[in-house]
This record gives sequence, structure tokens and C-alpha cells, in this order.
Amino acid sequence: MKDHIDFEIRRQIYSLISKNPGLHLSKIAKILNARISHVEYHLLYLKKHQLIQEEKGTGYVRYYCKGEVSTRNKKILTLLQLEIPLIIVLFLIKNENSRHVDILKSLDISRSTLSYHLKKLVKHGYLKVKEADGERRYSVNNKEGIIRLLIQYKPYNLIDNFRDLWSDITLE
Amino acid sequence: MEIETIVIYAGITIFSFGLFIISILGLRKHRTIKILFVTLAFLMFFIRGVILSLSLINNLSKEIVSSSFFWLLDLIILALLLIATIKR
Amino acid sequence: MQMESIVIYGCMTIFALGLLVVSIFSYRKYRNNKLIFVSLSFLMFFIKGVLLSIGMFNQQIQDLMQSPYNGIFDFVILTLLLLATLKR
Repeated sequence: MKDHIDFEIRRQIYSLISKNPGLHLSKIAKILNARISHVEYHLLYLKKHQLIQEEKGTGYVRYYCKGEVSTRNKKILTLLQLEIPLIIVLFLIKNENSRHVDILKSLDISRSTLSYHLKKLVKHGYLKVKEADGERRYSVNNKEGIIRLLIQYKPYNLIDNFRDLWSDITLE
Repeated sequence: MEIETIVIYAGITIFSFGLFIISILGLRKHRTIKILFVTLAFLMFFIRGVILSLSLINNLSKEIVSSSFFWLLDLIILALLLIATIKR
Repeated sequence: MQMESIVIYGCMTIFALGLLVVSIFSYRKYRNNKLIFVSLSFLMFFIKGVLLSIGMFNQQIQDLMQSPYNGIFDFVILTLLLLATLKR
């Protein structure tokens, strides 16, 4: 669950920088109403995964987005628009080569649900499976690529759409 | 012509014009089709306000206000806001 | 009772209800004060639509909605939307 929250915050930060290129750390923290140390931690993550770049100048470090999501890549994210496949992938991004039982221990889902979604994710190429010591171990396929896509692309959601619309119409 | 009617109609015209300007600023900044629809909705509100204000002094406007065309403006405003909400 | 009035008032009520529902869900998710004002404005739109629809069957309400005092609805809606744009 924490992975999901971190991922959402990173998406929010990325989206904010994408709409307002050149924001600095304290401004981002102020707009998102978050602690500076928290935002800094997430910005480091985004920088590490080549999603944003920083430019130093006039006493501030300013952040800009890198790259855009292509239409072809948006289609790849179709399965990850569902909550359970998404939390499985987020878990495996942090914990490569995990067994079925490791994933089950950490996530609040049933054994059969996990098996069903793991099969689907492997079938569609999101995950790869390695057999070791008679056990199947799962990892994310093209981890960096999936991270970039997940952060850059936000699937359509009417409620979020509405909030974003009225957030953009502000007198400031 | 009652004073409260004048105040209400003037308020409608001024507020809708203010919202129209604010939405144009939002449109210039973000350049999304969604905000364009909202801008058009506030423009319709402004037109509505102007017609209402003119109806205080002009018979033609009074006829427009009492016709169903006038309520069509409300429907158009809501439709524009709905499209802005649904649009990706 | 004209056909176009029925269609206009009906659609107004439905569109306003749709926007009201979306705004309430959005507020519940994000707890953003701006969205309270937007929700209230769509609530006013919905009430206006309901009164216009009822006015087709009730002369008193129809007279009220035809009077200049129905401008109060628009005034309140625009005030709420203006407050929403001023809030972060």
C-alpha cells in the first residue's frame, strides 16, 4: 500500500512539473502541501529514473520533465490501470525475484487472485519468470521502461479529470 | 425597475465577465481543450447577463428573456461544462 | 406546455445532477475546499432545473422562475464559482 501511495505522489509531482516547468523544491512542496524532505526524496527518485532533470540557476535548483509517452506505450499500460496488477508490479519493482509466497505475504489479496493476476501479467509480458531451486521467481520485465511509463502516464479518471480542470482555473 | 433586480443583473454580468477573464488566463497558461469549453461556458454566462441587464431598458431583450431560448443558454452552459469534465 | 421547454428543462436537470455527482465524488476523494464551492454551484443549478421542471405543472413556481428574482440563482452560482477560482 505504501508503494502505491509513493507512486501516486511521484505521479502528482511529475504532473505538476509537467504543467509548470521550472518549479523549485520548496514551491513544489508548498503547492502539494507536503514536507520538503518528502518531496526531495521523490524528486531524487524521479531524477534517478531519468523522468526529470534539474537546472541550477538564480539561487534555486529548478526541475523540468524529460520525454513524453507515445500512444503505443500508453496501450502497454492497459492492464496496469487495474489496482491489483498495479500493486503487484509496484511490489516487484522493489523486490525482484520474489516468490509467489513472498508476494502473498506482503499484499492483502487472496492466493487465487494473486495467481490469476500473475499469470495474466506474465502472459502480457509485464513480468518474467525464473525457475530456481524448484521455485518460480517473478521480476518485472523492462523495469526502467515500466517505471517511466507509470509515472509519466496517468490513465483517464473522471473524478481526477474534474479536480484537475478546476485546479487549472485559478486566479493567481 | 427595482433596485435589487438591477443589483442582481449587474452582479451576474460583472461576475460572469470576471470568470470569463480568469478562465482565459487559465487557457493561456495550460492550453487545454477542456479549459476552452469552460471559457465558452463563462462567455455564455456573460452573454446571458448582458441580455438580462438590457431587458431592464429594452423591450426586445425582455421578449428574449421570457422565451425558451433564454433557458437554452443555461442548457448550453451546462453542456459545455459537462463536456469539459468528460473530455480526456 | 411546449415540447422544447420540457426537453430543455429536463436536460438541464440531468446535466446539473451529473455534474453535481462528479463534483461530490471529486471532493470526497481530494477534500479540496475549492471543490466544495464548485459542488454547491452545481447543486444550485440542479435546484434551478428542478424548479423549472416543476414550474411546468405549478403556476406559482412558474411565476417565480419567470420573475426577475430567478436571477438570484445565477448570482449565487456565479459567486460560488468565483470563490472557487479564488481558492487554491
